[in-house]
Amino acid sequence: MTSNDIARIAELARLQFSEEEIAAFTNEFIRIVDYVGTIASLNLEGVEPMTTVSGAVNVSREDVAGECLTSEEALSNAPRKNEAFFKVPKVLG
Amino acid sequence: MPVDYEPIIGLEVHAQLKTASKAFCACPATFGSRPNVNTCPICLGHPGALPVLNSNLVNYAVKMGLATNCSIRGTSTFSRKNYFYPDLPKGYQISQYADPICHDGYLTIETLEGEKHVGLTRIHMEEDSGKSIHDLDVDTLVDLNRSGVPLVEIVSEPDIRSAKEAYLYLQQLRQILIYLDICDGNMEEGSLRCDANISVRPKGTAEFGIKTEVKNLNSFRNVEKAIEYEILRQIHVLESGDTVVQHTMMWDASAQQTRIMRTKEHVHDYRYFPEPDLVPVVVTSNTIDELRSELPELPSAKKKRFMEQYGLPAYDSEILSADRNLANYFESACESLRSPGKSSYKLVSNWIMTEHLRIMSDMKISVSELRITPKQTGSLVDAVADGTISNKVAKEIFPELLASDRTATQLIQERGLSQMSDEIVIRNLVREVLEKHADNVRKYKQGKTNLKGFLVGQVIKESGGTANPAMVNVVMQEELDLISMD
Repeated sequence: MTSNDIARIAELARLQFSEEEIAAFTNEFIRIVDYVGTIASLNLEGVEPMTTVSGAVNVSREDVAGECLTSEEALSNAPRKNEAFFKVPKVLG
Repeated sequence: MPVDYEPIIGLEVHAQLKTASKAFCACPATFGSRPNVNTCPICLGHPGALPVLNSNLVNYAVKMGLATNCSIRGTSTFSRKNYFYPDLPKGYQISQYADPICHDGYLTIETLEGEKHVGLTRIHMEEDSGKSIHDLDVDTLVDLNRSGVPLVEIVSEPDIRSAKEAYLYLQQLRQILIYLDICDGNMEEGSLRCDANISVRPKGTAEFGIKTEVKNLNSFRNVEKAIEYEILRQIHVLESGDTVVQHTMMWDASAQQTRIMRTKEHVHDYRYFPEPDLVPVVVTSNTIDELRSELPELPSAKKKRFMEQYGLPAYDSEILSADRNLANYFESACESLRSPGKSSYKLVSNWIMTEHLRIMSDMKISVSELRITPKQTGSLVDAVADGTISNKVAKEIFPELLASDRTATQLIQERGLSQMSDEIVIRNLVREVLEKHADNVRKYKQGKTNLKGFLVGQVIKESGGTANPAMVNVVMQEELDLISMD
């Protein structure tokens, strides 16, 4: 982990940090990655990756359409709108 | 010596599934004309809202896998694909990553060089994004009705070697999706979308060239043209001594060329990780058997059966089996025939392929909207086959069948169109005509044998179009042979 990695991660997350913040994060990230890295010292042969802790599988629902919000409700938290659309800064097609 | 180049093509196809509700919430998966009416906290990406898997997303994906010779994974999981775009409200798309539900399948396409397998790397389940609209406002507008609609992404191996093969592969995928009734296959409306990965390499080399990805291929024509264009563009770049740059291109249909959409210097880093809000999907062999038993006969199998069972040429079988409803129509018409047999089956096929398909395309209707039933079609073929009416009269009454509920037999009776096959009547007509056209008979006897056609025509005219042409022909020959010219 270098400060370049942190800058790249911040960019991907659309976050802006000062030089000092990036330096601080770099140290913290190194510690976190080291800590998680202890797993690498274990013998994991034959151990399946665990994606959930509950052990539940196939939790699903029937394919039946239900009620939705009205467009007024859907847009009620939108900072900007145009009639029934959400409005965002210009994105190039 | 000029280098011979070989294109390497792989397709990524997204198919929108025809479920009633969205992938992870109960909002309807159909889109109304009004924006943002089919949304809820889950597909709006509100914090804390939890997705619940639609069981039909799994069922449809497995069916597609089985129909394309894939292995079905016993346990597969969902992952988050992280990126920012305004029409992706959560900031990530729920997709599958390392363990797609279907993998390692293939389709068989029929090229001019023979049958060819195109490998399927994977089929995975995911959700659609919303829609961004760029031309209604100075800013971008977002409609989230489509957000969370279920998709399968079908990824091919780089086995495709020409634009034509890509077309055939895509056409077959579409047919299967429609046969399975899990996607409407409409490329223009975006329920079927295709991206192509294209590279070229000198023939005989093993290494792949640098590829570009071409997007925005929203019709079959565009798929073929864009791939052809991109292959030539890349060859041109290499021939000029340059190297192909790994761009994402888009097809500009109005300019008929590929354009650079974005360079891939910043190769996307989607930071996939397991979706913690959804538990693994387990597909047992019982479920697979059950879903397999629900599969319809697929287009390629149907085509083969039509050739064997009905004795149809490959061409007819291909066209009739391309549309499941058209194939059913053909089979019901054949079933209704009074005198079934391979020659009548071919007549049924001829009618459908010329008249029915013409009307469907002129009126832009589907086979189920045709105003002529399979039974009416069968009755028309019967009437021609048993000589009741000529093919010409059949064509004439066809529009009337379309506008009525009567069978051809009923119409023929009502209108007195029945073809005359009374030999005595016909012989008398023939004799009358030969007398009237003694000049032409003499010329015939002197060697102008093609005048026989004219004389037969006169008899049919005299009969008001009802005389059976085959019988007139026979009688005419007999009578002509009897006349001596000394």
